[in-house]
Amino acid sequence: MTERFIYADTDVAFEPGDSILVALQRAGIHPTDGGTLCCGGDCPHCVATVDGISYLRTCQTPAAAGLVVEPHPPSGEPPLPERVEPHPDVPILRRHVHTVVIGGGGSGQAAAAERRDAVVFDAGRGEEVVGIYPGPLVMVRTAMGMVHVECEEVVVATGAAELHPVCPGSDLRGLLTSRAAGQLVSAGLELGRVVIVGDGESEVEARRATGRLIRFEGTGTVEAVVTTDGRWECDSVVVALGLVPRDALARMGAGMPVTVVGDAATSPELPPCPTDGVVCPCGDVTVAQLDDVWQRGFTEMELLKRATLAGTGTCQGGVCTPYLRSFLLDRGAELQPAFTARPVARQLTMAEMAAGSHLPAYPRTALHDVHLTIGARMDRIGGWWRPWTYGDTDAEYEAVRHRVSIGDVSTLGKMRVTGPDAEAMLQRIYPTDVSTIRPGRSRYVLLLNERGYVFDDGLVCREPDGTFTLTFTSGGASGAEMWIRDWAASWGHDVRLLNQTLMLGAINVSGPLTHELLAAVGAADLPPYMGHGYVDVAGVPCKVFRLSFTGELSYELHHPVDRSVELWEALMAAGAPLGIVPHGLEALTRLRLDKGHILVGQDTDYDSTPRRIHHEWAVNLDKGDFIGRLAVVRTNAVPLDRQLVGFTLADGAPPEGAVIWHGGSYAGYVTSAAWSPAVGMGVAMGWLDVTDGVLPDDVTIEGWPARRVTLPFYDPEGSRARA
Amino acid sequence: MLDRLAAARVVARPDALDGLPGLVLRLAPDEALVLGTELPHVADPHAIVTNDASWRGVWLEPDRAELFFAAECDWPRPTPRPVFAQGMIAHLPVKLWLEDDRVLLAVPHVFAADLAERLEATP
Repeated sequence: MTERFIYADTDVAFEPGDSILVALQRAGIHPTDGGTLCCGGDCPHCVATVDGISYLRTCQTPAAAGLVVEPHPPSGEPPLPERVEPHPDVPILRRHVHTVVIGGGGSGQAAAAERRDAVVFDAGRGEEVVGIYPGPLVMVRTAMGMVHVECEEVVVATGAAELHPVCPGSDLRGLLTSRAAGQLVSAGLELGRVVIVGDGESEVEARRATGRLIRFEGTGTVEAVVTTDGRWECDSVVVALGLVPRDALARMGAGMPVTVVGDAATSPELPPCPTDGVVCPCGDVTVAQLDDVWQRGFTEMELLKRATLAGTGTCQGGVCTPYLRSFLLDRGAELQPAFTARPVARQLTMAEMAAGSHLPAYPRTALHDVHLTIGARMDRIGGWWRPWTYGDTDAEYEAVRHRVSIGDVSTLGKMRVTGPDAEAMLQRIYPTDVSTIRPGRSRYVLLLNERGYVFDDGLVCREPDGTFTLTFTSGGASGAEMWIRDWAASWGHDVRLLNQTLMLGAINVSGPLTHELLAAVGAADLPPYMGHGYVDVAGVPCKVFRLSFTGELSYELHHPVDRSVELWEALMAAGAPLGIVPHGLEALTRLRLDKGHILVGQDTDYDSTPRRIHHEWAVNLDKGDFIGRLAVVRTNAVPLDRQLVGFTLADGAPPEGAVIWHGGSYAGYVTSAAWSPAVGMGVAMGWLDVTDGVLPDDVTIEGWPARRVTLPFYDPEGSRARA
Repeated sequence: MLDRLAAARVVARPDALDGLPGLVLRLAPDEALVLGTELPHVADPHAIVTNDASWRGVWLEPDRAELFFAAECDWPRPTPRPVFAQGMIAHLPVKLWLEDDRVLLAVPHVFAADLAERLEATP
């Protein structure tokens, strides 16, 4: 029984071994309704949509029963699928070899035989190399999926393609390259009256038209060839104009260890400059258009490509490149090399492109599953999955202000520093006087770069044994670690550094009933404000820091990460009688805003000096040198141009990023804003420009009057945090 | 699928880490992860030696590991074995301990769920 596939709602029969193109030709169908067919994967004249995948070369695609093949529209792009079904993952195989040989012909096989540990990819076996990337990394599409091969050398042995004709009538049906004609005849097709044009070899025997090709004549299908010597009537034309190196992959490998061998390495004479017709069939770029852009000064290959888009279509210059070069040479330019080629050399599906890819993995704290269990909405913040809210942010806020709450702050950066030079190194890293931090005490610190700009903040804590613990922001921890390691190495300091961020979980306990909660889980001998110590909490050994980001009585419990769930659950259970509610990041950002605490990266910019963020108190210019000191001294001498300040708004809270207006002029923008139940007003921080030498007191934000006020908005004496 | 690895983390002068007994993953010249429950003795008075419960790992048979690597690892694994290696595998920072008859894949706990998911997705 003859097998069939569907082409444009019509059944098409095929023979064993047929490509889709051969089967279509057998049925008298040209997939793009005209243009020279090459059957070698080098031209755009047989592309179609096959089973929903567009731009497939039907000459390279085996016919199979049940395939649904649709022609592309005469102009424009093929339509996108009406429904997008989840596509199964495309398998990927990664290999490492010494040499990748692209091309399984004689020169490719010879090159492979000469080299050790070589693998050959052959388009004839359906192994299409789609790109050579730095590495080199060779990407191959195969019937089994994508293959990515890392190698030391690439050998391009892709052979030669056949030159296509450029003249009037080159878009007719019935035009075949010599190899294509040979394939079709071998498959048993009748080509009718055949005429050969050109001096190249022909795989079929037929009359040969002499003279230079002028045009093809016909209505839809070729009926005659016209040359300088006469007119030959025919049903098919074999175009034997010669060969050109199939070198797109070679041109892709510029600057990489790529060797080109065989016909791909040849430099045949360029074809005559065309005088009329379509040069680039992918983009329908004509000789007249080339002349137009030439007249406008686009006289180099790369410019010609960009001005006309010739060479950027399906065949990536396979057809037009020789003619573009001969055109430029004819018009008076020097002979120019073919333009650079870049991956991909074959159209790929999204699934093929994505083979082996994964969504970025965001780290999850040890409490991730606990958060999900109690209904947290997780979000990716500061490089981590974090609970944004547990469903009622207002209730979370109120729990911290009036009762007690816990929050997962395991994402905070944490680092141990020991060694004979630990203090000396930290003195040079930080703008605070580290020597005055007593054992068991912590101090808030800024991290400045050489330009005196703030790029992170955290704590420096001196341990009872004289070593140090540092903390950083969640998003800045990795950068801060690299910063400190780099400087330690540069200065040659004898220190030991251990990033403990992933080793230690951290739970923030906050609210006026914090002491009652901690007492209920057996925590005694808690450290004083801005102190730290080792305390068992619910039987879990914790390093306890007393500090406050929320403005309420707070402790951070740092503990071995495998005990996080146990500690969280013990606190929640003991806190139930106290009305405990966990708080997510949304509540935390509101709570800290009440206190005017900055979020580095949100409230700061890349040029935020300590003075601009009103943190001069965190910089000790008398203690000796530190990173950024000279810049701070220098910029302190310049008149202040803007500052991070606080606003209250009686009418509401503006969106973050809102413009601040003063007297009808732009005066800055809001970095943080929220409605504060504790303050009973909208509160905001933002960058405010100095106007006429002063910071304006009254501005407009989102049409609302806003009043500049001194930070913090809430509990300015700090009595609640120090309770 | 992944188990917690009992381990000690050691940061010390590089020469003090040379010759540490047991299964030692040398994460950096001055840093090692020593598998086991004992804290090792390190000849550096300023060394940081601490229990580290933050790693998750799985031992695979070599054939199973190679299947996973073929799909997810774009760098060649070193020989001879046993040998330690580290790098991105399945887009995750993975530590490998490669023996002739088994392979350990270890990641920080924060990526354990991702590694487990990617292992399960590999045929």
